[in-house]
Order: sequence, then C-alpha cells, then structure tokens
Amino acid sequence: MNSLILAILIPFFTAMILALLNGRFRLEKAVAFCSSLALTAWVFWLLFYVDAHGVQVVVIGGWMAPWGVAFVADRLTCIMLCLSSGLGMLVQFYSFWTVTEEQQRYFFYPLMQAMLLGVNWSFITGDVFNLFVAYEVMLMASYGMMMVGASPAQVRQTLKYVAINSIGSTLFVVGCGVVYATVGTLNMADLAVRTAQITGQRAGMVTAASMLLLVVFSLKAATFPLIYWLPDSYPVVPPGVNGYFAGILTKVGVYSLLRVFVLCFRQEGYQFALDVLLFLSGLTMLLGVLGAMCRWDIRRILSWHIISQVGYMVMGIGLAGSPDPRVVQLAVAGTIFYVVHHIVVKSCLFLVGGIAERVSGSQHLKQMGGILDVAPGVGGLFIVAALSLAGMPPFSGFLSKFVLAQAALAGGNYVVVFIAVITSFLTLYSMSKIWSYAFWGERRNQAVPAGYRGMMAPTAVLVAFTIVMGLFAQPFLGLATRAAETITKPEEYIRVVLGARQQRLAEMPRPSAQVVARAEEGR
Amino acid sequence: MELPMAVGIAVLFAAGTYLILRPNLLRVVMGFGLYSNATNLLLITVGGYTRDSGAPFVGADPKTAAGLMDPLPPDIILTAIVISFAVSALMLTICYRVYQDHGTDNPQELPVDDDFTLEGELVPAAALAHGGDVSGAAAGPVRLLRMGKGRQAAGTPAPKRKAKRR
Repeated sequence: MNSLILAILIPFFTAMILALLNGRFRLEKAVAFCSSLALTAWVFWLLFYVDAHGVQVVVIGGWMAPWGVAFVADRLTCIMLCLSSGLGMLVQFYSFWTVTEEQQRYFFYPLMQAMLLGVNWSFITGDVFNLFVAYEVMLMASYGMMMVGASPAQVRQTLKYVAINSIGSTLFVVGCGVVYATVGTLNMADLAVRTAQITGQRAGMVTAASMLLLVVFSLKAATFPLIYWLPDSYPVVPPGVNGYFAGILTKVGVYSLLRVFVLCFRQEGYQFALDVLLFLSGLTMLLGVLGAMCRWDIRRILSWHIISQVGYMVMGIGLAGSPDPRVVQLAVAGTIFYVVHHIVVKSCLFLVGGIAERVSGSQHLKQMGGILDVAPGVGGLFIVAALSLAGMPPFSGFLSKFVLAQAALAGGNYVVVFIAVITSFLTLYSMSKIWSYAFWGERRNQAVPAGYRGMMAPTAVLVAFTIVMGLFAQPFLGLATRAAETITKPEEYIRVVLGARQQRLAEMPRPSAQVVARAEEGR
Repeated sequence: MELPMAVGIAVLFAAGTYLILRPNLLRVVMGFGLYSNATNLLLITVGGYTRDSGAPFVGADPKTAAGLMDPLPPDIILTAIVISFAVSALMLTICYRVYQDHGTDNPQELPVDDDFTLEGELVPAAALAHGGDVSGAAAGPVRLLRMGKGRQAAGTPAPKRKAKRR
C-alpha cells in the first residue's frame, strides 16, 4: 500500500502549486477545490479498503520500522483522514463566499492546503517524533491562517497563540527525548511492544516521561488547565476556516492522546496518566460551559464550547484506564464516535455562526436579532446543530453522549457522569441564548444581506450528516467499535508494522537506553 | 557527564522561563531561543554521550557494533534546530508587527480582547450588558486599536483595510 502517502502528497503539491498561482483568484479557487475533492474521494476509498483488509503500512525509503519512519493507516486514522479532508473541502467551498480577494492575497488557499497536509500527516504517522514534525507543519500553517488579513487584533492574538504553542513544542521535543532515553524507541508499535515488558521502578520512569507528552497533547486539545489560549485566539480566524480550526485542530490533540496513551504506553501502572485525564475531563467540561454562558460574542461562545466538548472526549480516553476490558472497549469506541460527531457539529455551528454574522452584520448577540425574519433557513440549520451539540435525540449528540455515559457508569465513575449531564443542560441553556438573541427578536440592521445562500450549502451537508448519524447510528457505531478494537488490542497493529522482527527487537539492547542502564547499575 | 549537563540544561531552562515571563516581546523570543538550546543539550545527554565518545559511527567496531553511539538523537536535534529557527523568525516578525500596530513592545499594554468584533471596533462587555450603546463608551480602547502611527513612522504605508463583512 505505497499509495497511503497520497494523503499527504496531494495537499503538499497542491499547496506549492497554489503558492505559485497567488493572485489568480479564480484559478486558485478551482485548483484548491478540485484537489480537495480528489483527496476526499481517495481517503474515503482508503477507509473502505482498510476496514475490509486491515491495517496498512508504508515505510519511507525502505528503512524498516522501527528504524525508518512508518506511515500507518488503521481504521481510526482513516476515520480522521476522512473527516479532515472532507471538512477541508467544505470549508474551502464556504470560503469562496467569505474570503475577499484582498484576504486571498495572504496565501489563503495555499495555507489551507498546508494545514490539510499537517493534519493528515499527524493522523497517518506511526512515529512519535514524526508526529512532532507534523504538528509543526500544521501549526505553521495555522499561524499564517490566523493572520489572513493582518488586522491588529489578529496579529496580537496570533502572537499569544505562537508563544503558547512554542512552549508546547519545546515540551514535545523534551518528551520525545526522555521517552527515547527510558524506552529506547519512538516508533508507536515498538513502544507498545517494549513498554508492555517494563515493570517496577523503570515503569515509574516511563510513566513520568509520558506525562510530558500528556501535557503537550492536553495543551493542543485544550484540556483544563491549559485552555485559556483557545477562546482568545479562535475568534480572530476568518469565518469559515474557524470551522476547520474548531473541528479539527484541537481534535488532533485528542487523537494524539488516544493514540499514544491507549495504544503506546502499556507499562505497569500506565493507568495513572488516564486517571489524571479522567479527573481533568470533568473540570474541562464544566469550566468550558461556564465560560461560554457569560459571553455575548457568538464566536467566543462557540469557542468556549469547544473546550467543554473536548472534556467529553478526554473523559472517554480517561475511562480507558478501567481494569475491565469491556469498559475500555466501550469507552474508546464512544470517544471515536464522539470525535466524529463533534467535528461535524462543531464546525457546522461555526459555519452557521458565520452566516448569522453575515445576515445580521454583527457578531455580538445583543446587536444581532431577527435573523429568522430574513433567513429562516439559517435558523433551521442552527437549531439542528445546536440541539445535536447539547445532546438531544434523535441527533448524533445524544447517542455519542449516551455511549460515553454508559461506559462511565459501567466503570463506576458516577461523579463524572453527573458532571457530563449538568454540562449538557448548561450547553442547552447557552444555545438557547444564541437562539433567542440572534434568531428571535427585532431586526437591528436593515441592510439586505447578500451572498449567504452559497454559504448554506456546505453547512447543510454537515447538518444532514449529524441527522443521518443520529438516525442510522449502527454502521457508524460498528465502525467506531472496530476502530477501537485495533487500538485497545494492538496485536494486529504491531504485527503489521513490525512484522517478523517483533520478537528479535524486543530482546535487542538499545544504545540510548545506556543512560538508564548506567543509572540503575549505580544504584 | 550527565550531572554537569543536567545542571547546564536546568540553568538554561530557568533563564528561558524568566525571559518568557518578562513584559517585553523581544525577551520572550530570546527566552524561546534558550529553551530550544536547552532542549538540544538534553537530547545530546539522553543519547548516552560520554566524555570519551565521538560522533555516531566513529570508532565503533564494524562487526559487533560495540561502542556505537546512537545516531538518532543528533537527527532529532537537527530537525528541532531547523524548526525552532523558523518559528523564531516568525515570532520576531509578529513581534515587530505588534510593535508597529500598537507602538509598544510590552504585552501588558496591548488592548484586551473581550467580546470584540473583527472590524477593530472593541466592544466593552460592561457597556453592552447595560443597553448596547457602544459609540461613546468605547473611546479608550478604540483609540488604542486604531493607532497606526508606529507603522507610518517606520516608513511603510499603512495597508488598506476594507470592511470584510457586511
């Protein structure tokens, strides 16, 4: 399966071509959209192929894993690739109406493709240090995207975003180094093999090293207490792309947590990291929704809701520390289902928010009002997405919360279920606030809105997806369960990546484990 | 060899943290420079380097690979150096741009963004909570936001900023 790497090659070459085409606005749009369409079609085919034939791997330059960098596609990877590429396509379509030619001069479409490259790369890589490189590609593109237009507010918020992410990147490299020193490998499959044999004092060291990575991924996912950068920086992203930021970028952190802490670290006492995550998830949910309740700017309200929703996913990952394998299975499947639901619904809400801003001429709730009078269709799109976010049946939000709550109850974590239900109620309050201020009431702005109908098409696709996912949940839940199986029982993953070398590798001494060995001898 | 390295790395990280917490954008960038150097030293140390060991592959027995230094940490360091170089360049550019926009390099003097709109119209949350008239109340922050003097003094023309959304 050498063609696996197309998932990052297509956006890579498109980004370069688009950078050369800068200034030829129509051609740029056409190339960007066609490339995204091809990418999306290809990753959906990959999803069906991997679901039928199992994990696929490609090693770069023919250097066998764990020495070379392996790109691995299992079901979880493919699900994430489909979401990222599909959403990227819809967001670019939406941007045809929102991004002015002046903004397009700031390399808007090349940056979008570069972001797709970074995100897809971080999903497909099978190596922790390579994940760092992918993160950096993604972050560099997002810095540029945040500054499209370069207004003072954008520049100063980007500065904060760059600063906090640079600290995260530093910690990531340190974490890679320390994990390499204690375990002797950074390949994910090899990590899973080698950490499974570590017990006693060494296991404590590995857990300590893994906590560095936990901080990094929590920062990217915006988990309590590392949340305050998000609601300030996301509102300055141009409308449309903020749907992609909200949907995908924080979920890269959640994906990394899931991949690294459920698949890779299996040393004695690995549950510690997951227990920490479970504890933090409750605080994240509650704090996120409380932050959203007191805001009046529609983009800020939605940004705070990202944080509270990340809490649910992190809760699912935290539940994977349970000793009962059935609970682990259910929790991971629930998390994957929730990620799918969240990416669709959250980005949909941001897209609807963009339309509401266009129609009402403001992003402040008290200046909006009366959207239902001029654009009832927008109200229809919003109410479905909002109810789905709050977890009302029959939309996807209800089922995803239901599966997670079921896993938590089966594991005996009653407190976190209580917090999750409270958060769900408060989310409903916050959504009804947007509804009653922005969609009901009197119209403040008498100007006739123009050009919002084209923006409704990609939004409607996402709304349709959440309805389908709620009404016909079984195929989606089945796919999530199979994806969870590949992670919680990593035998297939390890066998495909490492092959026959697995046994020999497990016994081989690693040069850089020398420091640890010397330290142990000294003791 | 690990102890002096560990002390050096700790000092670099401490100095970097001190600089990042200073209210001065240029020092923040310098702090990140120290961070990346400390990280690279840490990677060298975890590679198991000792006083008498050379570069990877030098002096190793070709048959048994005894005395082979681990070549992966230098590889990681090279990648990390390139990335931190690019990020520092970007940060310097953004810092300069912030200085042009606001005429200050103190992050604490920058306007606070809360419930604002992208047009540069800062909406004070307190004023809106009691009625919604923002025209008079927003005089202070709006003045800060629209200050284009720094850029003109630097010799570059102020970019045309059209209203993006209606």
